[in-house]
Amino acid sequence: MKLNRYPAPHIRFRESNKTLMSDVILLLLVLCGLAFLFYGLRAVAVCAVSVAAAWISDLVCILIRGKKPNFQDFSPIVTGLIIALVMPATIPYSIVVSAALFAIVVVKHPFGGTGNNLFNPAAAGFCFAAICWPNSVFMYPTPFDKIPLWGEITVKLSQNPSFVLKLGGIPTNDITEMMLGNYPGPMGATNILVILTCLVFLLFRKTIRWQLPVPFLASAAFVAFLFPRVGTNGVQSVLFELMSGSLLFGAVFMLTDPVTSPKRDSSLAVYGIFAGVITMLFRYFGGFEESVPFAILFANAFVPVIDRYNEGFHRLIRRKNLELKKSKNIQKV
Amino acid sequence: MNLKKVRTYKKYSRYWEGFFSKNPVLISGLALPFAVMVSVNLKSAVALSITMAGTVIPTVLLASLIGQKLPKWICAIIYTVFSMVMVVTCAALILPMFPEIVDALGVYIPIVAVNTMLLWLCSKYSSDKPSPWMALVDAVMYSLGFAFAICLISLLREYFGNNTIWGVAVNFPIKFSGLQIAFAGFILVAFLNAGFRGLKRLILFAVYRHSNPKVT
Repeated sequence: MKLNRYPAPHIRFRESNKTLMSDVILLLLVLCGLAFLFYGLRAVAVCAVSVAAAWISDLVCILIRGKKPNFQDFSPIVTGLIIALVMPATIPYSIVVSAALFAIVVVKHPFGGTGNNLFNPAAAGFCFAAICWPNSVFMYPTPFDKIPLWGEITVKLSQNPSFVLKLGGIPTNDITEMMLGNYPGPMGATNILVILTCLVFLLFRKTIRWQLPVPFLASAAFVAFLFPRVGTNGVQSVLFELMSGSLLFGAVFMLTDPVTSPKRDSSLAVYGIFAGVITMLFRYFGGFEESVPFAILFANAFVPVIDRYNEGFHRLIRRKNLELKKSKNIQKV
Repeated sequence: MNLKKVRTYKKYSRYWEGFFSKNPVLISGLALPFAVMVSVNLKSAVALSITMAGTVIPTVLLASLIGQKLPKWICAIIYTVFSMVMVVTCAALILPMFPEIVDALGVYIPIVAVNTMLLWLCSKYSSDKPSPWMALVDAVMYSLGFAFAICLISLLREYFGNNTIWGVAVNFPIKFSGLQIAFAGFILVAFLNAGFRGLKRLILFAVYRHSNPKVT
């Protein structure tokens, strides 16, 4: 019998890597379109620059490694779009390019390229930019401000509600406005309603499994409810925590990366809960108000361990069931 | 397959292996805390390189001279005490040259006395047939290799992370301040390690090709 070994993602449906990536790209383009409505042409330019940097660097890395380029692999486009959409629209192009290069050249290809990376490249790219240029990454323009395509940015920049929460204050943003994305924040991560629709679409298309984003959001909400940072009730804390920053965006587009997430459904749930709790811990005790990409990188390191122990647990259950069946058969005889 | 030139190359490269083919930081992964934590500017790297050379060379020479004559349990104590004396001497030497750097290096100067490169070389020349000449050559080459690696890492981190060289501002359009923190040091060491291993293979392959032009 000939066994063919292929790298992850292991897809057992009619869909291919290309169709799954196409679904995600389609949704990211919708978010990109919304960013265009809120911030103008600058948002589209940032996305285009990020995608171009990711795609070109991916191609160069593949050629350096002596492999044949696969033009049907859309993963660098997804990486580029995610990096751009978690940034503010005023971000300098050089920072976006640096983040995309870091994601592809340092995080993706040294581990073996598509399907072999241990860490989520987009999350790593964002973290790199956040550590190097926090003043540019965490200052956001107000929607509908006119941002010039080139040259110096003169529009007023302000902080995200997650920064207010970090300081122990209560955000003054209206919940309805937050649902519609009409507040300063990452250009693709503020449209809560649209991102929730994206989640439903991806679940319906079976591109992602519910066992990952739902436990992640539930555990983050549970921690926010039990230990509210804002001086009001737990429900308000849950609403602000889930809707501020890029928590929801990260849950839908970063955490669900099929390569860096566990394989079994039960492992996915464990991973989701773990990532959710870590996200909230980073928010409560971390240095930055934006914690999801950092928490995802941290959780990625535990994926092999979760997979391994989960497999052992399943074997144990199977063995117990088998022993139980055998003992029943013996009793019958 | 003619391997004469490859063997000759390997024989002579034994003298400078500490600098290139077995570089303590870039190939062997020794003394990594210094390469990752301390090497954020060129001044620190030079100060640490002087301390390292001033400690490693006499201690390894001492190990090659008295290593086999003493019981093993006492060797470790003698080498550590001797290297600590050398560290104190070197610290006194570099203090007038880089006063602020010595303060900034803090605990990293004393731990030069027990770094993995020094301990590995001492154990090598205590247990093998002692050859003071080769011990001296190795100690000098490993110290130079360490200095080269740490200065290269520092230069890159200072230039791209702080846009300065030796504390003097240089013009560069973008500042990667993340390079100044430890994780960037690890990543840089990993990439340089891969680059040097690749270069080592290329050189060996070029030597092989020189005497075997048509053999595949």
